[in-house]
Amino acid sequence: MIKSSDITNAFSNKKLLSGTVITATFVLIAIFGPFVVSNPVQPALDLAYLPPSLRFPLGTDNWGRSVLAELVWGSRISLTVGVVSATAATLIGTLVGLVAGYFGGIVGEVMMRLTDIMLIIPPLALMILLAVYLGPSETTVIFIIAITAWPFIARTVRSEVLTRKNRTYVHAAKVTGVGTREILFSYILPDILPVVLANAVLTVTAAIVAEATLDFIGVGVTSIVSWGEILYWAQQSAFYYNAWWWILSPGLAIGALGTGFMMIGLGVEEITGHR
Amino acid sequence: MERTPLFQLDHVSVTYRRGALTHQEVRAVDDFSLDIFDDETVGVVGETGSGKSTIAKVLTRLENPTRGRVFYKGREMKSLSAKSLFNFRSEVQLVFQDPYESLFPRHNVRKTLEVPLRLHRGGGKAPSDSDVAELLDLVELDRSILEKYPRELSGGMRQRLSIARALAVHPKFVILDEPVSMLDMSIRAGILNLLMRLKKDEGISYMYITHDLASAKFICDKMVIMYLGKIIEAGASGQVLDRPAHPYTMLLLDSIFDLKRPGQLLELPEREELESSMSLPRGCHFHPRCPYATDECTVTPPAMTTLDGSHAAACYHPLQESRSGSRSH
Repeated sequence: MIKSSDITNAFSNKKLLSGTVITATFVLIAIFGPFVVSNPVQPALDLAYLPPSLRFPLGTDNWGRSVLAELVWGSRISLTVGVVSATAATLIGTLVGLVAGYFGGIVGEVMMRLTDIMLIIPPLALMILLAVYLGPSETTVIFIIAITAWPFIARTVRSEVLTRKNRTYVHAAKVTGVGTREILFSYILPDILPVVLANAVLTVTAAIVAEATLDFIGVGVTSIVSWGEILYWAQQSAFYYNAWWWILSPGLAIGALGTGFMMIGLGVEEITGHR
Repeated sequence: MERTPLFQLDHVSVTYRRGALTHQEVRAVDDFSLDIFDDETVGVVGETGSGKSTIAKVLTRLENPTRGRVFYKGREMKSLSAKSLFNFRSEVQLVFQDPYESLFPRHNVRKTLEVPLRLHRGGGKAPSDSDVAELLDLVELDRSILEKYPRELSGGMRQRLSIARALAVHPKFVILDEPVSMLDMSIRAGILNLLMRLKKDEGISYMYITHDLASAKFICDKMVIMYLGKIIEAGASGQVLDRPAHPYTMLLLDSIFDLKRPGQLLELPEREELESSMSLPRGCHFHPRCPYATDECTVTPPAMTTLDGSHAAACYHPLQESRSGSRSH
C-alpha cells in the first residue's frame, strides 16, 4: 500500500531526489537523444580534433566525429548493459542468498564457500579473462558483469535472511503449514526488498563502470559506440593532440550516471532504515 | 487396555551449542519422557529457562531433539513425510507466548486468518469472508477489525487473533506456550475463560505451558513440573497441588499462595548464578537450593519414583504431608 504521501516523503530525502533527477536525465537522453543528434558513424577526417564550438559543443575525435553525438548514442549501451547486468546479478544473488541463508546446513555452506571464492577473485582479472575467452559481444559483457557482481548481493541477502528466519512469525507460519517457498517469498523477501533494491542500484553503478573499463581496455565491444569505447580510442591519441574534451566528456558522463544510481541506492537505504 | 498416546516423548534431550570455539553445551531439555493423551489437558510448569518452550518446539517439529524420539500417534515425528507433516499441522497447533512477535506485521486480520483457511480447508482456494468472520466470532473479536493490522490491535486482541489462527485448521490439540504471560493482568482472565470455553465447545485438548501454577490449576487435568530441563514432578493437578512431593513444587506454590502462616516450612535460597542450564550442578539439579538436600542428593540425580497412582516425583526426600491440612488459601 504505497500512498502518494509516502512518495512525497521519500523524495524529501535529498540523496534519492538528486539521484533520481540525474538518472532520469540520462534515461531521457538515451531514449530521445538519438532522434535529435545524428549517428556519429560517418568519419570526416578534415574535422578531426576540433575543440568545443557551437557546431560541435563537445568537440570532435580523431575521425572528426562529434563527441556529443557519440555520448548521446553511447548512453544507450551504457544504460542497457548497466541495468540488464545489474538485474541479472541481483536475481542470482538474491536467490543464492535466500536459499543459503534459509536452509543453512551443507547446501548453504557450499553456496557460501562458492560465493567466497567468487569474492576473492579480483573481478577485473576475471572479467578480462572471460572477455578474451568468450570473445567480444554485448551479451558477453553483460554475462561477465553479472557473474562478478552477484556474490556481493548474495552475502548481503544471506545475512538479512539469517536475522529473519527465526522470527516468531516465521515459526508461526511453519506451524500453520505454510510451505517453504511461500515463507521465503511472502514472509522474508518483502522485508529485505529495500536492501535488495539499494544493492541492485549500486550494482548498476559498478556495471556501468565495468562496461566502460572493458571497452577502455579493448576487450569489450569496440565496434559499437559506447562511453568506454570513446575512452578506448581517446587514450590512443587524445593526449598527443591535447584533446581534453575527448577524454573529459565521457569520463564525466560515466561519473555522473554512476553517482546518480549510487545516490538512489543510498537514499533507499536511508529511507528504509537499513543504514 | 493400553491406549496409544497422542504424543509420546521418549527420553528426549535438546542441547544447543554455544560459541564456535568453546563448544559449550546448553542443555535445554534433559531426558524428558512423557505420554500425552488426546482427551486430557496437560500443564508444563517451570521457571524461565526450564526448557518449557523447547518442549513446545519439539512437539511442533520446529526443532528436532538432539537425543531421544518423539512419536505422534505411534509414528516417529522425525520421519513424517511432507504430506503427513501437513496433516499433522492440521491436527496440532501452537499459540505463541508473544502476540507482538508471532503475527506477521504485513498481514492484516483477514489475511492472517485466510492463510490457514486456504491451506487446510479451501484446498488452496481463497476462503470466504464468512469463514473468517466465524473465526472472529469464535474468539470473541469484533468483525470490524477485519482490515486492521496487528500493530493497530491491543495485546489481548492480538492473542485472540493468534488463537483464532490456530483454531482455523480445526486442530485436535493446541499447545499454549505461556499464552497470557505477556498480557495485562486485567485481560488474562478473559483469555483463560475463552480457552476453557473452546476446550469444552470444540473438544480441543491443550498442552498448557506456564510458569504460573495458579492458571495451570485452572486449566489442566495433569501437570508436569520442570526444573532446568528435567521433569521433577508429575501427576494429576489435584495431587500435585494438594500434596506436592518435590521441594521445588513447594517453592512454586509458595510463590502464589500467602506465606503468612506459623512455622514456615521452607526457607528456600534464591536461585544462584551457577545453576544456569549451562553449568548444571551434579546430582539433583535442585540440591543447591533445597533445604532437605543430603549428601546423596549431590552425587546421583534421583529417578522419577511413583508415589501414588500417577503421581511421581524425582526426589530422595519427597514431602509427605498434605498441604490442605497445614495451610489455607
